[in-house]
Amino acid sequence: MKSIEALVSCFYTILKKRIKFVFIFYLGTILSAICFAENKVSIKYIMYQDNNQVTIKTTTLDSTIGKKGFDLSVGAVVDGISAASRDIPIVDGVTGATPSSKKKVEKRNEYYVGIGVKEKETTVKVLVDSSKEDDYASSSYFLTATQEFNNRNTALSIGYSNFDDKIFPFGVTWEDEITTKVYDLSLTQVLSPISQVRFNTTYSLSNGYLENPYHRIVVNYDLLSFYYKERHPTIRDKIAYGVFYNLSIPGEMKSSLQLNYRYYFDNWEITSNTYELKYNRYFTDKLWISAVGRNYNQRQAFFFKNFYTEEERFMTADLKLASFITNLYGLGINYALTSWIDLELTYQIYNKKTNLDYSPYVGSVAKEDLKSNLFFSCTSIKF
Amino acid sequence: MKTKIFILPLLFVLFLSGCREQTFKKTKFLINSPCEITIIDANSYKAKKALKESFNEIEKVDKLCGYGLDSKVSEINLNAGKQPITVNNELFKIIEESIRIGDLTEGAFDITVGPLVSLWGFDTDKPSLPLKNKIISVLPLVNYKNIKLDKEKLTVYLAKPGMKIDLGGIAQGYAVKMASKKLKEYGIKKALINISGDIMVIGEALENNPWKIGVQHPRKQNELLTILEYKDKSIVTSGDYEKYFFSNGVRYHHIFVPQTGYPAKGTISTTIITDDPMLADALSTAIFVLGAKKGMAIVNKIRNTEAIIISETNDGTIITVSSELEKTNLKFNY
Repeated sequence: MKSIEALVSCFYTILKKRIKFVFIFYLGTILSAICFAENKVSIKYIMYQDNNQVTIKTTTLDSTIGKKGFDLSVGAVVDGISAASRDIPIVDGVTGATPSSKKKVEKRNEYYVGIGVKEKETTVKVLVDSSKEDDYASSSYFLTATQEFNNRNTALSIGYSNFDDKIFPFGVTWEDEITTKVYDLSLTQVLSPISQVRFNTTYSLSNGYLENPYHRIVVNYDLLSFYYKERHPTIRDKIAYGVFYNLSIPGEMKSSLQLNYRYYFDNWEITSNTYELKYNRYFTDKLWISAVGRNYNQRQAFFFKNFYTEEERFMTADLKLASFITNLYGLGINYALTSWIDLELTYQIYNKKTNLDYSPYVGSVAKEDLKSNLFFSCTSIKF
Repeated sequence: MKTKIFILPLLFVLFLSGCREQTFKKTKFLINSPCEITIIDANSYKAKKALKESFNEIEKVDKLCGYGLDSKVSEINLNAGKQPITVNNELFKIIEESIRIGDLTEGAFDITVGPLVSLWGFDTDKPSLPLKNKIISVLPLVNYKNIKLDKEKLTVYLAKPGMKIDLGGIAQGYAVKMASKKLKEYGIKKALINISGDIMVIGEALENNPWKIGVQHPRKQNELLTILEYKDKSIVTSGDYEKYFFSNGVRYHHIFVPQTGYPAKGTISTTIITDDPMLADALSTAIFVLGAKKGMAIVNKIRNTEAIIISETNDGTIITVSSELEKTNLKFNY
């Protein structure tokens, strides 16, 4: 389930040409899935649709082979993003040659391989990932080391990730790069036989071309309008603190409650709070449901404006840098079809509200508030 | 009494909110293209109804001009050289208008290019360069003068076996025209219809501003060549940058010179601004074929019609604009 929530954010991010932090979260989830448990093949299909006529379809194949103290995980992700219209927000319409009859689909292919080794109370995991789309390429690696102690009631984990990204936009001759380094530290403590808590902090540093090359900012002067490309600072420092609490609720029906809080801030003066509540409940040994609710609120970057009245040093048309609130609600059903086949179906609704004045005719950055639906299915075969 | 005092201001507020202009926008995938209609109106019910009905009009055109085996266009093509086919008044008028524009543009616009489109494979996913003798062999089938219309009987007859009409150069413009007609029937005063880049604007945009229409840059994806500001106009562009392939370093696109059977050379983009979206659609293809000099001579003869023609020459890229447009000092991103 965790990966789905990450993917909701991840999809939105892919669409907007990515924020590395979310992508890291997504791959970090894959890394944590290397679990020394069993041999497994999972096929996942995810479909995302929103009110901006955007559809994203993703198919993931993930395979884990585990022996005592050793796990190997390999996977591939293929997704396609299609949009009904071009992303040029500065005019009411664009006249151009008739496109070929098929909708244009932006494709992304991603491959990863991970290895985990466990020796007594120490675990080391490594994952290497490569992703490519028509105008973007990313290669990255993840390292984590976990040490358990205090009779395995306490675990300390450190992680490091590195991303080297290249961007080569359509229709231009230049290309640029982004490097991102992420440091992660977490402490997990068992509080009682039915509860545990985890504290986590992440620091990430991105350096390079952090703009979206396709975004334009319109500045209206008395008679003329001028159009500018985005100008973001070239360095972005991000820090996040999180706390996670898990409670197993005793009773005839097994159930659990999970609470998650995350505080984030960066040197672009964005701050955010994430609150998440998740409830899992078994109805039979084979069937369990999961419900999730998440609220996210964010304060805007120091240079974000809905309307720019003059050319400025930093300018953006990126709504992810605005103040906004998002809410996510989801319901999932998991069913063990046999002792070796698990099925999972999840539906989530994701809404984003900016409270900005949406005036496309005078060049506002704001668009209509986002409303999206996400459908996720996963078939896992254990062997 | 208290209730009345409470209700009256509420009704007043509702009345005021009902008078405020709102934007209604919807996109559908029809005629193999994204179709978007934007309406600005104070009456939500009227706007939504008009949106629905105007999309119905586009769907009708989709069925009328489509290429499914059961369509009238296919029936006309299958009976080429055999017998005349009775069509409805609407399809008859589209074909009649296509012939008129063919005459107007000295044969540069020709709906009988169907055999060429098929030979080059532009009606498939994999177009390719045909052999020269094959191109020569289909040329006798390409001539709109061999379309025989009978106004009395409403029949269409293609005089030579193997002839094929292709309404791709005019159907979208016709769909825009029908959708705009429906919007006007509903009393819509401000709207924008965009069928895959064939645009018609009705009235003004919000706050009495003209509608801003970007012209796609022919060589830089996601960049605009220029921005036009209009009210009550049709703006249509033809270009060599969407349907094309390269063979031995040469770009081959889908806009053919009917007389040679090869894609038109020199022009890379043509934008036509005129009152009738159907004329704009057909003219943008014809002027692309004719090139800047001959094309602009025809544009200057047609009332209320402007053009922007981008040509690639040995001396570099040349932008030619019609006389009235030149006076506006348009800025170009090239």
